[in-house]
Amino acid sequence: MTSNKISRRNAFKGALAAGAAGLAAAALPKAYAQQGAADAAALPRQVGLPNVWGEDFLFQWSPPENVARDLSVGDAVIRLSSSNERFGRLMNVEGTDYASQFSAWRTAGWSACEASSNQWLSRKMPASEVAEVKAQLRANDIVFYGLHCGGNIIGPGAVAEQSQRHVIDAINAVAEMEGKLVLTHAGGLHPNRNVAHPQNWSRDAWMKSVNALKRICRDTAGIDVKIPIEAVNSESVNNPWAQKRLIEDVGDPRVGVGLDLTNFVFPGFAFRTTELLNLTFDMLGEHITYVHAKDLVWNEMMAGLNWALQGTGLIDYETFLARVSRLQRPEIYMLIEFLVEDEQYVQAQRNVRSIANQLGVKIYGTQA
Amino acid sequence: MKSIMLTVVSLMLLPLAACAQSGADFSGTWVANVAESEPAVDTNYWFGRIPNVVPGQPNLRVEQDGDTISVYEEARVLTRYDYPAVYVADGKAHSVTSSNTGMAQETVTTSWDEAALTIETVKPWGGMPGNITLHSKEVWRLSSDGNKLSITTTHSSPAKELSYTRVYNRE
Repeated sequence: MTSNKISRRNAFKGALAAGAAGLAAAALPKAYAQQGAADAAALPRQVGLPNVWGEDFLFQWSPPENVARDLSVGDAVIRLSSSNERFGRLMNVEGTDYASQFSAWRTAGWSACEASSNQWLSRKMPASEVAEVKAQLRANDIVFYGLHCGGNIIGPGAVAEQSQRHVIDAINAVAEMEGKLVLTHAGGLHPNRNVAHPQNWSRDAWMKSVNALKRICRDTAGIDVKIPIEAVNSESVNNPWAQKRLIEDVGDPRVGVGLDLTNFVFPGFAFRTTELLNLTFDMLGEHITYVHAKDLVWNEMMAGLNWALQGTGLIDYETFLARVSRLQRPEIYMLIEFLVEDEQYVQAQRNVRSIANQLGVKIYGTQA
Repeated sequence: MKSIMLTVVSLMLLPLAACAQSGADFSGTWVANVAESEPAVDTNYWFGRIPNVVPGQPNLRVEQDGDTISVYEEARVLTRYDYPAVYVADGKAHSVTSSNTGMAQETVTTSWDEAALTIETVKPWGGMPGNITLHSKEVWRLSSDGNKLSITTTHSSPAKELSYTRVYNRE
């Protein structure tokens, strides 16, 4: 049996010689090989999980037997947030009773929150109300950590410029709220970045994303707000290698990772999430600014990967929570999202807390 | 001393006595009674984006040899009755590899409770490592004339408890 350990060294070693299977691709464009040696040596060149049954075999989508699972627990405490717009996601709505709202959220186990940038920026919140929000957050021990910008920073025509300006506005708004981050995406060449465009993985599209992020960083220089990038399967940043390379190519320390493992998953990874998690955390480590908690199943004849309730699908939640807890910081924000009904957010939190409790991973507060 | 020995021997024989009380005979072919059944929840798939109930209700064939019970579900597409699940109703926990994924261990305990057969399974949800723990319990009961079988299944997880009953008529 081959080794099950996936270290950063293993993940990168062998570069082009090693990767024949899966996504793997091996299909690195010629342009990569033509880069200067010094440049190329510093960057990830092999993508895909290591082969399980040697290089002369086919798609190796099944996991090795007895994958090593290190479930040791770290000291980081997880604060849970929710994407439920009716309960848990902060909304900029005039007349909101923040004291009652935040009190109910904390009782329900949510100790952190975020907002959607579109909704948040749709109304200029008066300074007195900003002060009230901050006061009630403190009073209820809830952290407002930031905004999620779902725009398309490399979209066609005016979409790119509008989206970049929107991210810049969002960064300023988060700073005003004393938040920590603005989550956004690398974008795609189709107007709707959730629709895959055939050229999204071209060098041209890549450079558009890099330059867009450089511009955003330049126009917000000096503002202490992180800019984690969330992978999306339909975009160029849809795997941990691309996340790492984007950070390096943009070169601003504020750019990091909004880790959403389900957005990395294609069929070749679906049953190898333990290895994918370990590789991702080994490679991206402290670049992981915050995390999304989702799950998935493969339940259709086509590559039909669908969301599942947290803890019931293909993501190795024990490894996921253990690795999050080992990040080197006091608190991690974890967003539970993409559920259908309000009650499912409650159920998902129960599952996450149950698994964390069994491992000894600390989740802030309690769930009523 | 003799009385102590007798007590020990008696305690050792208790499980056998319990087995001997297992009067219900489930053996035979059972045809799904869809009209009287509730939809079965598919524990591999959860959400509203896709149906989370098992489509259809397969017939069952049961072979019973003492406390060994083999259950064959009618396969939906290919050969009939080709994937048996085998239970040993000895009240003991048996560790088996998940048949759905081959990637996790399940603990199955099958026992008699008067006329009912209870099958309890503890496993990671979906048979994948790292998932929440799913406790499943099936209670099999026969009607007084022995011609109707009802199986009540309860799935318990930290998130919620789901329960449904399926009914079969003896062929």
